Amino acid sequence: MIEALAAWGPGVFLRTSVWLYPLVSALHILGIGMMVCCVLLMDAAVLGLWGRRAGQQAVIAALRPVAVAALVVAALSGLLLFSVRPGEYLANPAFRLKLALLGLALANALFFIVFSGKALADGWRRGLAGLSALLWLGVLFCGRLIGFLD
Amino acid sequence: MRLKFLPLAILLAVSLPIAPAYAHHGWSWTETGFFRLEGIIKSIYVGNPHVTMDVDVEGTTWRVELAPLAPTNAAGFTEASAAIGDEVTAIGNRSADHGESRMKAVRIIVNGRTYDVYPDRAKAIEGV
Repeated sequence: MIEALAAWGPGVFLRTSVWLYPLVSALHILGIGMMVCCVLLMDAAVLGLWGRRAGQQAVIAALRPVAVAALVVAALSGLLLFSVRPGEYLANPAFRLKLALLGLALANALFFIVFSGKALADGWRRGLAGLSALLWLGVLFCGRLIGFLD
Repeated sequence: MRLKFLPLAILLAVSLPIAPAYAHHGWSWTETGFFRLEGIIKSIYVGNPHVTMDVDVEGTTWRVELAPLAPTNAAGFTEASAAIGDEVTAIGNRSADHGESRMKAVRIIVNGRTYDVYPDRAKAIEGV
């Protein structure tokens, strides 16, 4: 599967393209920046650090679609960047940790979305929001570390 | 209220310096003096984000990192410049951690041609 991805057309093109690679890299940063910003603001709202308690739902309603769209941009551009040298990235400890944290962050977000109605006590909501902030910042930091570790 | 951000700020501040000294990016992970490596190319990657070679030196495989793709190409080095099995000389800076067989090349000599992938740094090479 790794060989197939390494031979994938867009990845091959990106590998030797002097301009497209930085462009996709910039898209990846844009997606991450928008997503993590929205996530931190939503987390802060749930934690009661930002806005009024009553405004929590409004903050989430406004920012969640933006975060999801930005996540799609980050994921697609990330897949493209990964396909340039899949074997190298899979062997990179920072990349592996990033994927693990990404899985946890997504699971945490899904759990919150599914159970955040009336089913979750306020303490739980705050706990999940705090965990969310830590996990996504961890994903961001490990992503930045990829180029510094091998 | 503001104090609630403190744990987050502390976490960020503490985690930043964890970035290890060895790295692809920049030169902070390398030794200052030039280092010369001669061996046989085991594998070669000419592409983004960095051009790299794995070079066999008497049974030890060294990872030789060149410049990013654009400056490497600008130095004249392309996919056609070297192949697996070619003898190569790399002059550049060795990892400060001698436990890892890794260097960042400033100059590559292969198939009778010299490529200065970091031209400004290559000016300082004299009889290395």
